[in-house]
Amino acid sequence: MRAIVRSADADRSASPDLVVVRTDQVAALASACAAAPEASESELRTHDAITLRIHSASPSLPSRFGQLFSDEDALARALKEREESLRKGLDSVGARVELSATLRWRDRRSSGASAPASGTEYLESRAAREHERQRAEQVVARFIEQLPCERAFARHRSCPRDGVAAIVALLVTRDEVETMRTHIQSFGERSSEVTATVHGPLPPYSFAS
Amino acid sequence: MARIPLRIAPVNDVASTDIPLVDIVDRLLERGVVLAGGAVISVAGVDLIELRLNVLLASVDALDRVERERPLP
Repeated sequence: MRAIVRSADADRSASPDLVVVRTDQVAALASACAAAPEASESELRTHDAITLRIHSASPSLPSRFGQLFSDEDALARALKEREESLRKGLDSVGARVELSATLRWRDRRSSGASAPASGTEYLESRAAREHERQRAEQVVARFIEQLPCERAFARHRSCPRDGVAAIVALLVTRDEVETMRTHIQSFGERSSEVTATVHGPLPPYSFAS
Repeated sequence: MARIPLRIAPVNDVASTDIPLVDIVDRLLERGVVLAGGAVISVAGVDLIELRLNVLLASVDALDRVERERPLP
């Protein structure tokens, strides 16, 4: 499966390479495949590109990669079970897009991949990680505070991987994209703790569940 | 898997290359709508190691979050 759209929008978002499965209110757009999708870089980027194309045509909820249904009937049944919540999700996200801001530590040293040599070392590294997480939460709070958007339209993950303080997803209208990009970049330039990189506009992955 | 393969058509989208793969993996494997279908991913070669590691890290991260958000007894 690639994405969910309103039934009324399905024809606008459809293309010859996609199968459309409808219920009364929503429709799923899927790619036919003979086997489970391979999680290669090419397949991941293709899924990303297809969901972006769909969301450019009409409001959509992008699908998590790798969801496989045995046939169209199975997809239709699953769609029917969640029809109401999916429609509400589409209504709340609307035509907004996601901007993804990656905040990277300026001073972060690599924690390394080696296992702790002792219990003390383990506890110290755990305490350091917790300290880093708290510091990241403070950075994110300051970051979101200076953005011209409602807090409800921002979601974040602290310390998702080594060197990254947080990845913040922002749900914005297309008109707001450039203003928001400027604010994000400006925060990164002014901050002594983190740099900021923006990706997007993207389909609203972080706001679809 | 009997019916869908009969309608296989070429996928024409050009894969995006300006976003780092690690960011795409984070987004595509951890976020987005999930229906009741099976999440089946076939992995091969080097991708197998990298992807399995990312999925594991995501799970640990999620568990960590649940642990932190759990109310104290």
